Amino acid sequence: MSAKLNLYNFAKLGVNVDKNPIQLEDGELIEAQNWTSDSSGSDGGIVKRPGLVAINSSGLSGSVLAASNVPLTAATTRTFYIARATAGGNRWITSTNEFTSASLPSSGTLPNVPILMSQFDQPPFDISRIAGRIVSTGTALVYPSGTYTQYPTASHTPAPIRLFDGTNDSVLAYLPRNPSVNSGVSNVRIVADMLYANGLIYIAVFDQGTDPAWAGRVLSVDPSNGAIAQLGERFGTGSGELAGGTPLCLAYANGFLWTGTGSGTSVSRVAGRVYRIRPSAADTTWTLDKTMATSEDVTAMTAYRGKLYVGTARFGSVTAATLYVRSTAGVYTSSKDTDAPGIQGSSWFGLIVFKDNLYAQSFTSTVGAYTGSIQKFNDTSWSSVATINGGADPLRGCGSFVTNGRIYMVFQDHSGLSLGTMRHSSDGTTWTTLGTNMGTVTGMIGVLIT
Amino acid sequence: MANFYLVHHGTALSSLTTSGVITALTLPTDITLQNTLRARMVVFGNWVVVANSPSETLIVSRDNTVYPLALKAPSYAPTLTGPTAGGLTGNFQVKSTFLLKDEFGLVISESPFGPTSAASGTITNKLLTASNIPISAQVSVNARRLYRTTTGPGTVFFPWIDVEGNVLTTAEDDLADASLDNVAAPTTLGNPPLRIPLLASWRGRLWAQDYKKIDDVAYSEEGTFWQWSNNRFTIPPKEQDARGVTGFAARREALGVGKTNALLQITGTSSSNFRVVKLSENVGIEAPESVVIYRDIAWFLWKDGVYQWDNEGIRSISDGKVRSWFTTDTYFNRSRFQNAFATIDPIRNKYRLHLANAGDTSENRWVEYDFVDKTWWGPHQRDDLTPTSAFLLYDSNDVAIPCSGNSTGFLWKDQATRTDGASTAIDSDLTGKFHDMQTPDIEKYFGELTLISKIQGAGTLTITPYVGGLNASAGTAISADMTLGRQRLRRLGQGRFVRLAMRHNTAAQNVELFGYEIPFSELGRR
Repeated sequence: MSAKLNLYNFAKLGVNVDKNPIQLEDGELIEAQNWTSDSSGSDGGIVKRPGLVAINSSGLSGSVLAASNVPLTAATTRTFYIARATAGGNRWITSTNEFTSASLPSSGTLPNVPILMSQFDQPPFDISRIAGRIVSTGTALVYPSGTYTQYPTASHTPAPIRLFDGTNDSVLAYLPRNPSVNSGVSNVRIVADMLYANGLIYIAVFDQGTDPAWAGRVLSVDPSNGAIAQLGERFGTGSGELAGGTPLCLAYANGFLWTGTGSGTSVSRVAGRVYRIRPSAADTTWTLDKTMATSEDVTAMTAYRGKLYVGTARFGSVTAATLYVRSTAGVYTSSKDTDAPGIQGSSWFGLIVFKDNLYAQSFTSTVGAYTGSIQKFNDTSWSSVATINGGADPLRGCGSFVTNGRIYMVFQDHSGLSLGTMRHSSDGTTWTTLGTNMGTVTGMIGVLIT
Repeated sequence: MANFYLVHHGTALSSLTTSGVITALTLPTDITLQNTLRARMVVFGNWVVVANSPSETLIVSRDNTVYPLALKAPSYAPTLTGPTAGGLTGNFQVKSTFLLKDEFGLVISESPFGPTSAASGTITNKLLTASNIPISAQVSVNARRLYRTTTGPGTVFFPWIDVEGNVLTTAEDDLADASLDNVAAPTTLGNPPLRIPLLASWRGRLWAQDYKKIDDVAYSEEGTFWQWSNNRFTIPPKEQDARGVTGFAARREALGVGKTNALLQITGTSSSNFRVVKLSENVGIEAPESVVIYRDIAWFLWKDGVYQWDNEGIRSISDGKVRSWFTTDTYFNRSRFQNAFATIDPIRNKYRLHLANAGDTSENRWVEYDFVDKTWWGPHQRDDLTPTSAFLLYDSNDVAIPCSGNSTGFLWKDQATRTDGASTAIDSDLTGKFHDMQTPDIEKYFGELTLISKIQGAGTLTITPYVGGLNASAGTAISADMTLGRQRLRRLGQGRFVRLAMRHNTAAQNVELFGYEIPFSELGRR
């Protein structure tokens, strides 16, 4: 008898080492070293197994014992953004290598337009009177956009808070009007300061008003949905409103949100104040913590080693601005004064903690002679660690930032009209100057981690 | 898709981009990795939890910062006094925790509570002063949180003050009771076992074998990796072997918990209704790394083969086909089954299990199970390197890539080119059955072999025929040209059986066989 074996099924049977040779089906294999079936394009046949190629070009030390896929965006790049406050293009300075180099991109993936110098420079503020920070949540920048029309222009529009995630830039919220200002018809004039704490963004706003009856509020914005709430009472001169000017700066310390107030360049200056409120306890009122001297504005605050440090400014005064420390018992004492100023005044800004030291930007101005410096405090003594020009170049601190083991200090021309500069340091002692033309910076500095 | 890889190699952790760029990670002070214990990693709430190998369980952020999973509790209590004028009146108690906050001020984790202070004694219109606030020895701690009671002192603690940093030892405040946080202190703070040999994520919680109580499984509160309270189960039988729990298999509605001789499942949706149910005796998980779950099906190695656990129950998928691989000493070193590791190949529908060759002491072979065709393939090997681990990664396009690691510090992924590494050929060796044409006792003459294959650009397949009885010797090798698609080859000869062995061992060449035909004539019985 003649016949023929037609065998086309071995891919569907595979290896069998359990049966005896007689019981094996035609097509079953007793060994298939480096042979396999492949349902992705070769179903029915058998093929050599795929080859193996290394993912990494250089070997890791030791044996690879385990690996895991992490379906998260690796935070390998820190992109810095510094807002520039002049009209036109190139509104953000960016750097992706921690300012080894920086650029002034005019296009591409950038945040929306930040607040203009002309928008900042509205009594009682000019740009040198406020903390003016923006918020980095790590994955987003939240900042006050300049794309609105300020009151009292007839067509004034609500001030937008925008959120930039590195790709998309959206309006997170429009700041609500203050019902006690101009009968509730005027929009927020500017954002004075922003702070990120406990998952919420706190915003100090200047609502306008009539000199010296300045008005402002502290609001919270939920970065996930833009929900806005007002914290405590409004600041102003109306019934039930808190005295001391308008909120200029914010800090979160020891469970409290703190705000410092002042009247800036108001004609009738008032004494700045420090207020505190406990958001987690749903406080409905601010507690007055300290009343400063008349004309003493509170311009910067931060907690250092559990104590609140409060920087002040005195404009048009020969009295040196004081940086106070608040004891745990609530007593304010001077920690450091600026150099003695001339008639144009002095200020503290940019208080920030870096590697267990407190840093602050000191500025003193006289006619034709200015002194700007970075001051460092180690909980025992202060030292000047960098001089920011001097003489006729009126560079004043306007922003500070700490991330990834570095501290960044931004300085602007006191007049707000010439070039700014930035110093950064990894040890707080040696400071490097960013050579990029920073233009008129506002101190709004943030970082996106992507 | 944005993703990256976290790799345990030697005594180090590194992250890799999908293109292979390496970043070495810095471990917290006093925490080391063992190169004899492979890390077990779980992605949980934007963190990667790394257990087993570290001396303390770690968490890794997406910016490659490494922290200890657990912050140690304060070891002493603050001291309460009221010497300073203020606005608070009453009698209070305080306790504290340590905090780890990120650079943006958000709390990453919180330690268990330290001891409760002695009562302040009644103060009247004073600031409540807490001195002797604990300082942590862990460098990661960057804040402390104080909780206090209302007057009485009450028994419920409320968040009172966050003391930033790890330096200051005094804080005071006269916050009224009514102004305390409306939410009481968490009651579920608590650390996981100091070391976690086995780890799984299921129902939004971490599940961990206790390294001391090896039959116990502890679990975290939902959504947190630092709140473990006292949640735990003892998995029976208790204290009957030295391994305790041997593996987790987290399926959609049940967490499988393996022991060497049993498989149990934890079901339920919350700590109020979690319960343990025994699924089988005499079938358990032999090798923790052999467990793979895909499409809600779990595969794992036990002592006598590979098992599948799905909605239809637990059954062996190796019996009747390759049971001998696992029950004899012919193929694999069974004493090393505990070290076996596996991964899934979702592209080619394969469960890939790495085992040690018989007589060898490393997992230098692997077999594959096609979970669609229900066929087994292998044992495979590579001639240049020995795999030391297996895992499923995803490339930058979110395409699954089954991978392995090896002793020289490389991660390997499948490639279409049939070459291992730069130039090593894949030695493909196939042995078929003895064809008896349904008449094993009849002498036959086997005519010209016809081979049908996919047309390749180049290559030669070596076919060795065995013609005769069941003890037939190798005949003269036949070369088959893989560029032809169909080729009539020589006559095979006379005998009761014919078997073909096929081998291809040239780098960068593929072979795809569709089948073969063998004409024959029966000659009769001798």
